[in-house]
Amino acid sequence: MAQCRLCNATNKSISKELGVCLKCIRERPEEALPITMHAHKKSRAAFGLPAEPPRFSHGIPCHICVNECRIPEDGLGYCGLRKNIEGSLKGVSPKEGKLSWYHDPLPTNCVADWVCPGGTGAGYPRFACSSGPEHGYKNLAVFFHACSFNCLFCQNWHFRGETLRFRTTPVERLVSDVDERTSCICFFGGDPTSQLPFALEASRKALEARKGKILRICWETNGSMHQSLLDEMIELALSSGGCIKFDLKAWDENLHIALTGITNKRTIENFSRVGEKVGMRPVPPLLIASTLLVPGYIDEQEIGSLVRFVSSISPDIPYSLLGFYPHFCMSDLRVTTKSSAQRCLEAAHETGLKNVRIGNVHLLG
Amino acid sequence: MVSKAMKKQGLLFEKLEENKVRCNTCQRRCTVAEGQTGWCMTRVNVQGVLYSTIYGEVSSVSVNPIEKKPVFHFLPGSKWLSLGSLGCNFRCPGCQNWEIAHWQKGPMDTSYLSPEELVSHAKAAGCQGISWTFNEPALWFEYTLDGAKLAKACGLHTNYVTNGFITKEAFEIIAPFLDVYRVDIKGFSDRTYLRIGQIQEFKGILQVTQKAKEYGMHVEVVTNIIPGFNDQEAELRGIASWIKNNLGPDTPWHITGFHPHHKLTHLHPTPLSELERGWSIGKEEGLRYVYLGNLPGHKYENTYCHRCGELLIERYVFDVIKNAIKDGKCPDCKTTIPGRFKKE
Repeated sequence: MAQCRLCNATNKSISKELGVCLKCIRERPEEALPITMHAHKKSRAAFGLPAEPPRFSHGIPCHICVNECRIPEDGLGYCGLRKNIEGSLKGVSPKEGKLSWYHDPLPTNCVADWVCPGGTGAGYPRFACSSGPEHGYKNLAVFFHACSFNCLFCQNWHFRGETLRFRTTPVERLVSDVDERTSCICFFGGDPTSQLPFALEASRKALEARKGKILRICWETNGSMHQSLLDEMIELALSSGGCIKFDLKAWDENLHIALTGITNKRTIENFSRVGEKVGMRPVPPLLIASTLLVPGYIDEQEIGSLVRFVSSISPDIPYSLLGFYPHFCMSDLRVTTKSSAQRCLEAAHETGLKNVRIGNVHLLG
Repeated sequence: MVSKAMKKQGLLFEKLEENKVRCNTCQRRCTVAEGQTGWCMTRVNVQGVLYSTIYGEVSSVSVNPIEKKPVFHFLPGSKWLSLGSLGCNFRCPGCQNWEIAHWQKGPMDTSYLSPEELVSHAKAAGCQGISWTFNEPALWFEYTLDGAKLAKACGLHTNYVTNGFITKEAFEIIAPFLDVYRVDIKGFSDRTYLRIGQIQEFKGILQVTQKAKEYGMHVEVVTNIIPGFNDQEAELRGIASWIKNNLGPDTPWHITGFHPHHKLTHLHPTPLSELERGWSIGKEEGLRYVYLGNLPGHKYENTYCHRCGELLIERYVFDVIKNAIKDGKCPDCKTTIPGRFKKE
């Protein structure tokens, strides 16, 4: 039970760390956002990550993501991966990354498992190894140790402890683990965005090594990357039978900034950009949307707006509404309740979107 | 003399004409001509660039319980590394640390401690956190910022023991790295602040303190009652009611007794009756946790549950004799006690 520091409302749907309620974020953003921004800075301080994207006019520009950092001498970019040392950015590169990975037997619990080749056999025989779930095959799950956002509800927040470690891994080391039973690679994290040059390099090398075999390249992302990198992701996913899973955190920009620390402008633009290509390969679907139902913050109004946007691009885009589990700075919130998930699902159905479902049903309270 | 290596470029200053600069670290916002220092004497203009002369220069360092700050509702009984440097932006005539706080020039009797050494000392001594105290930490802004960043990344807590005269922009920079804001509110009129701190206007102190609360920092307020300076009812009632309305009724308010010191040796110590009157004013204005300090053994050194009156923490000066709070709650009526307490 926490109290909103603006309107003094007290209830179980207010995150103590975030400090303000949904109503105040929507109606008094100029007062609420400085408070939520402080929560972000504080959460990043605990991991030695920069409080906000550096914007030094004489700093070295990094164009990989929406943050468009300009990194000063001896400073780090927002994601924490690149440092300006004597005028050049050192840290990760297309050849060296900060990541870990594991093999996940298919079918697995991926956001797209209900529509993708690995989970359903969609696209068989060109893109899937069997006409149903790909039993006996594996997904190579590649977890990147950094992110371009700072979601206070992060479900994988432990990566933050790895971001500033010096150790990097060569791209060949990852590629060598793609074996004959690996039918897809999924890049997630953290987020693949801030290490896309590495992920793209790894994908190309892996596809080369498995030429003529099924190897789908999939992405699970916040969608904040530069459009030129997105175009390369689309190309790889389209040609390999992979998918791009966009996690749409919030529609209202202020709410997005409150929860993630960063604007959603680029994510929305990028989603539309991928949306233009969905007709090029309807099966298996190229683009999949998901949203975490954060209690007290992502309500049916928010879901309604997001789903209307997705539906306007194509009513065929699959959309997963995900149950929330208390994590990281929002560990004082409850799990998403069945009734609230149901209300969101109904709001989604009303827009005419054809493929909506609730994921993580086992987490609902 | 100040060695050149110890100088650190200031983070908050703007260049003016004729190589002058304006320092934006504290609310004095001094204009400093080339070759001159600001009012605090710790920032010097060298060829149009402002430098801190005290970066890392430590005049005093010790390990104490957090009660000594005083902070009563944040990990009671925990050990903290306390350290300070030289200089102040106030000139309180009864200052208890005037030898270091009112330092103006001449050799600095200090030792250099890097932020890395500071954090490793605190860890080695088994401290839960670091308090910047003894002199005004805002003057030490660049060093406290580097130290606080490192401390947070290493899992330590942080505490600013301050007169609150830091600028809003400096506060915004360091705020993400501070857990506790232990601020003095020395009076409730510009006249009192002029007499005590030699500043013209005090409302900026309230504004920054309110920001600390909004940002979710743990805030505790101290008022040292100096006979003839700030002991009028209107001053005390003004402070208490401002705390209640702007920081909330759960904010601890420490009323401490004055001891004749420095330039005020001619005054008598604050009478017990005056301190108890201050306590009553705090309670009348709706504050739930009002404490009396510098009165060893007085019952108002203790913490009592605001709901049922149960004795929760018994103290003697800086020692916790007994702490009955369980999982942040009163063991009797199970009310949540404001602050941060060890989880069982």
